[in-house]
Amino acid sequence: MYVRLRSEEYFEQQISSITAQSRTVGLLSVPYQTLWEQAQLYIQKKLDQEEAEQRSSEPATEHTDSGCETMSEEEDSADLWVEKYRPKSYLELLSDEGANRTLLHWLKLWDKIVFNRDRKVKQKAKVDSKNENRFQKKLSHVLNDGLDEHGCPQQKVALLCGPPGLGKTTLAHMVSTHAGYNVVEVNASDDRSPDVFRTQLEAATQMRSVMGMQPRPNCLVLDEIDGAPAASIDVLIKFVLGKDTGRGARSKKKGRGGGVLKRPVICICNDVYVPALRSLRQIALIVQFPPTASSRLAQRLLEIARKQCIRTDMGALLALAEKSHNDIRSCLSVLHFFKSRKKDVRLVDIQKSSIGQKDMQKGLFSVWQEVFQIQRPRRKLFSTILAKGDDRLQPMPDLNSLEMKFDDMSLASRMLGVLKTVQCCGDYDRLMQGVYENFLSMSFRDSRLEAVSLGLEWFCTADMLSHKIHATQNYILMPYQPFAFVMWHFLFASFSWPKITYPSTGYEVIVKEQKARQILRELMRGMAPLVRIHANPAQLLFDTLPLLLQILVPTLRSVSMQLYSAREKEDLNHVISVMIDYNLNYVQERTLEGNYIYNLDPNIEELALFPGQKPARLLSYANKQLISREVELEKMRRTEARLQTDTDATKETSCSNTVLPNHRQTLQPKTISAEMQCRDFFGRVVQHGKTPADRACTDEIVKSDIWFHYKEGFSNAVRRSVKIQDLLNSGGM
Amino acid sequence: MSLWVDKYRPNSLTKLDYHKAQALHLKNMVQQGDFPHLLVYGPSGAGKKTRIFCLLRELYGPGVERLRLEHMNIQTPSNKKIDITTVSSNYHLEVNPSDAGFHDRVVIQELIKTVAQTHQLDPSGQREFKVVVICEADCLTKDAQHALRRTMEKYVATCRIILVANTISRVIPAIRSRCLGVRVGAPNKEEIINILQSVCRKEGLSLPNELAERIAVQSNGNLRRAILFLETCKVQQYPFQPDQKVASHDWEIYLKDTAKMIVLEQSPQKLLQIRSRLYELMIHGIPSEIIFKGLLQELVKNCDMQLKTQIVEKAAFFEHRIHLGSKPIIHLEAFVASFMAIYKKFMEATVADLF
Repeated sequence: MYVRLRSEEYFEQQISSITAQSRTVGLLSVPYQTLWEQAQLYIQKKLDQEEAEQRSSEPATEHTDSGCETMSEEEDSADLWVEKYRPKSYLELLSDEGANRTLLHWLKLWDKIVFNRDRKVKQKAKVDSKNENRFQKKLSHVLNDGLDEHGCPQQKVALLCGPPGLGKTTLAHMVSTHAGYNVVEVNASDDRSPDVFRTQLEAATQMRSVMGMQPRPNCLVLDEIDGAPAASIDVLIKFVLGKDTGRGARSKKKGRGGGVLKRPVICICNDVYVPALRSLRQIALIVQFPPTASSRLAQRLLEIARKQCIRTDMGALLALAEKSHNDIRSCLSVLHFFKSRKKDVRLVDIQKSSIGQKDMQKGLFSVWQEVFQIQRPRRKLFSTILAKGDDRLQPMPDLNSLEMKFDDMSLASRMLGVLKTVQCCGDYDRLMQGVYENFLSMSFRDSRLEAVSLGLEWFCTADMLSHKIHATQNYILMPYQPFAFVMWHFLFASFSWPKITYPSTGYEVIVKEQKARQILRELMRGMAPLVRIHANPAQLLFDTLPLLLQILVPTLRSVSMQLYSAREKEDLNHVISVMIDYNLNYVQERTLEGNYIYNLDPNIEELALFPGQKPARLLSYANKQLISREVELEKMRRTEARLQTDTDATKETSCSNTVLPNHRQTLQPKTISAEMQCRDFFGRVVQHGKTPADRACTDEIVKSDIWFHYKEGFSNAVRRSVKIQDLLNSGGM
Repeated sequence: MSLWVDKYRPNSLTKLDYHKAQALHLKNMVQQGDFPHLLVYGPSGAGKKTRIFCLLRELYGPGVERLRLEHMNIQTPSNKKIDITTVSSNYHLEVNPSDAGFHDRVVIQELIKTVAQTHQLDPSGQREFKVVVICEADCLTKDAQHALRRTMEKYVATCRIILVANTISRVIPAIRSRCLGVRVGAPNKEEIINILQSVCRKEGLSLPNELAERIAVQSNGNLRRAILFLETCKVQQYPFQPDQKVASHDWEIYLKDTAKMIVLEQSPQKLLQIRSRLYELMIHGIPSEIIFKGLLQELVKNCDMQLKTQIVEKAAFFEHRIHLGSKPIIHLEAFVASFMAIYKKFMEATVADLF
């Protein structure tokens, strides 16, 4: 019996190696040991803090000393605080919990295809607290939970949007590392021309890094996508939908068996309503970023301030958060700035400082809201912290209100407020469209319609201004545009919460107009030339087409064409020739219900009929079918006739000169008078009177080289005698 | 050639039914074998194109009727490709540069210039010039018109240009002075009735005079419309009845209904409905001027004189503004809203007077 003896060092080594391995698969995102160290540090820090607090309660002179000490020590790190205090783990994220979870949930859906492990179905959802349920409900209407046939989530792209400084980029990075991806970032500083973009996309989603310690799958983060050229976004969309047929890509795709996007792509933008993103919006999971709660931000700021030993209080930080519109980045910069001036941060300082006065671009919706809503008078914001607590519950625009100083609702302040918001947004045309499409559904009191007509006159003015600006490039008129919004605000705003929809009617109308024009062009293209020269598009639309629709509907019975009376035949012929002249025909189409109908092609009914109007008379299905067939036949007949006349014309010319040129002469086949053969009922040749002489004939045939013998059920009917030497010869060849 | 409008179109100057003196003038002019640039203008459906075609036939013979469609690709300086369809015979070319939208200048420059520059190879068989017919000359942009003026002078030896326009107010004076203006006025009622009767005679139908008269009135001097109405009537009911209903255009009915809605109720919600109806009209390609005119005609019907002046003034104001702006719907709606305001005020005043 042998017992293997090992030294204790060996065991320790083994254990350490196991723990090292377990790093990758551990349940915790941070290995136990580091966690332990962190905890130790944390406890240590806490002790230190308590000490410091004790000290701070002591006379101020002492405190400044210690402050200076830490400061000098901190000076060394030239890092921006934004970098320094970037959240290190998912739990530290400051952004809205809902948004975070939606993104993480979406990213986890990719596990199936990326890591090849099934998603754990949550079983304890019912047991969970109310909060959890509410979240689930909220989530379910944004995120499509199902997977498609490749095992990818339904929505292949996530689109994070929100104003700057809320931590979108941080969230994207954090979440994707948390879910075990390697982040590949493409932002505005990179070249984003379509070709480069495509290669980047392919590189990021179809390959994985071989170098490095842990080869993880990539997660592509496209930052600042609202600035990318529209062509690149088209590339992205095609790529995502798997119908990219770009150069070079095709050959690769074949090898891969259909290019399906197999890695998550996260896009980040500030403004979701950029025209270039329109089509992306439809396929992406959109995660809207609500502003961070100011209290939460202030809490974090307080922590940081404590770490940096800045003397401040919650009220000041809340004010700071409020003033910067919850922009984490700018808050930190301000704190950093105060720190470098070695000053305390007090409420007064915050109020005096000029931060938060920057051009804050608001989303379109909040601008519209501000136009349509009169702000309620605000309480003094910075007096007490207690008041703040209530304030958070108020609707969003309150938090975003611009002018802190104006707490009343005088006309002047309202005007300034609206003016400023609109000016900051700058996209006057779109804003105007939004106001235009929404103002009639607002609840304002105007029984005599004077406000409406005045408001519409202002719309006219605004339209004229913008037309002038665009037509003559005369941007000196630009500053006058926002004043129309002030006017609309005064006319249409109310206290109630406005329900605003995105203005899409204008765009839809343009699309429909283009479609109508396309139909008209199609019609014009095929019209008979003699008819065409007397028609122009406008005339067709006004005069001809509406009446044409009625002319094309004669009274026809639904019977076979042979049974038509002379008049009906005439009518039918008339309709057919009109339809050919105007390049119309009926085509069979399948409706959504699954039955077939005949529609005109080009569909001039769409051009001439208005909603709510029914054509006076309709042709039956059978009639339409008949007409459609006859039109085709007539067209063929006409082309034939034309060919005929052409050949006739050539013949005439050929007749005029008596001698035909050589190439025109054709061989005339001679008629051969064949003997009439008797056939029986089935068409078989009846042979009568088979004489022995005939038999002798057949024998002669058999004796010749090739003969024919009919054998039922046997296929090699033609036989030929071949000598063996022929075979050998051919083999030798 | 089977819609009556096309079938019974006269094809020689002598066969024209009205403005016969003018037709004779044209005939005399062409007999010399040469003619200046022409600017043919007049309301829609008056027979401008018919007259031009008769002229061409007079000039070149029946060969003009062998027409073919040609699609041309033209590239703008900004590398945009434009598709233009032309109808041409061996002797002439017809083009509608407005198809290219605001790129019509390029069409004028490229297409017409190339046609104008090429000389006839064999001048013995035909005239030594070609004819270019430009449709909708009043829709040409200023740029295009300026591009045309030099072409007209420089290549006068090889090419004659016939401009067709509804109105000459939008044709620049420089072009007007280079052309011989030919105004083709709309036919009057009797002329239309005569033509309708002759069409029916050729078709072997009998048309009651009352119906012909009503069709003529409804067509408003537009011969094409009149003949189309006639044919629609025939399809709907034959033999004709004197009190037969004459079909009208769907868009006209729609416009009238819209006007009725405006008079019936004035409120923001109603305005919203009106807006969608106006949008619908615009989708169907009805230009804003026609919508304006139609609305105004219907709206002033039940107003007294004082109100009428106010409303017509408003209409003129907003109609002018349409041309200064780029979104017709806003101006249309502004007109509707101001009508509503005026009308409501008026109604309230009359109700107050009653009590």
